[in-house]
Amino acid sequence: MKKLLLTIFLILCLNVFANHSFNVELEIPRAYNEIAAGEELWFTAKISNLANDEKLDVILTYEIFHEEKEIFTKSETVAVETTASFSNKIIVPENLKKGLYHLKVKLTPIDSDLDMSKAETSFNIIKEQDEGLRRLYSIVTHLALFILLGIIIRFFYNKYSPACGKFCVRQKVKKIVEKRQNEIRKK
Amino acid sequence: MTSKLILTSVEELQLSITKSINPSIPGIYVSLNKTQKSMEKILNQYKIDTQKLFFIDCVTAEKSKDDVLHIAPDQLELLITAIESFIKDIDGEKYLIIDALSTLLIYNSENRVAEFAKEITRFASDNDVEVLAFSPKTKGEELLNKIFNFFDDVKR
Repeated sequence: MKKLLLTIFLILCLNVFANHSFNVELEIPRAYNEIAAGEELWFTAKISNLANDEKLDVILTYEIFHEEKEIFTKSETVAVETTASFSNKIIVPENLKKGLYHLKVKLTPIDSDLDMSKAETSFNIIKEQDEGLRRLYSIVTHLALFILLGIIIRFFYNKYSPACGKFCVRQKVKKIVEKRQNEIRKK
Repeated sequence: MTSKLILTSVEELQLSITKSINPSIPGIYVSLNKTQKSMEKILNQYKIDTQKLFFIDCVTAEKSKDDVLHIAPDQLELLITAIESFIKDIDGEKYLIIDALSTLLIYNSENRVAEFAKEITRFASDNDVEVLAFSPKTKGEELLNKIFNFFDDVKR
């Protein structure tokens, strides 16, 4: 009886390990623990494929949460044999306010009945992007594009418009006559 | 002021043009056979002062001087605009020389050149400007037949 119970227990344990055979760790380098809104957040996801001998494809889903509200998500598919380490970056949204944020990773095996694995870490947004400066950059960019467009239009208009051609000819003639008549008067 | 159409042999064309230039009053010279540079050189050889000559060079687009207007010979609308502008802007008495009217046939249709001649003679007449249009006798017979009537005087 004891032997039977032990065997059943071992089988159950093996099943448990067979289903939860990935270990995920998430790490943010110290330099990125505190960043400003709109900046890059670098991190490393370390994955261990426990128990499985074969290479498996998995989906890694990265999420950023703030006060339990999801504000960003990104996924990628990777292959894992025994252990793998993936460095990645997310450009955090520019409109984030100062505060504590959580970075979570979910590992979902593809074409396998293995369970999902998770990991979580946190970082701080210490500076919001300057609204005024952003607006200024936007205005300057739009203005520069507008001026460039004006120059391009003027170039092609001068080149191809007959009406403009006549106007240009009249202007040139005016200049030539003025110059020559001044020269004659001086003599 | 009168408009004259002067038909001459090819050999005598240059000499006829040179003799018609009046250095004492401003003139508008539409150069269809030679570049402004070459024409000025020839006139200087004949010791003719070109200070009062305004050139419209229809031979080359190459800019040799700032005070020379370059118009392509197929741009008759612009050529008319240029001639009319010179006539309006130059003060006092002036005259217009077109050195080889039939050369325009290389780049434009006969009817278009006839229209050009009509427009120019009409405008010059309205503004009291003498027109001297030259053409080699042997070129553009059909054209010449069309434009004879636009000129006050035809000299062969």
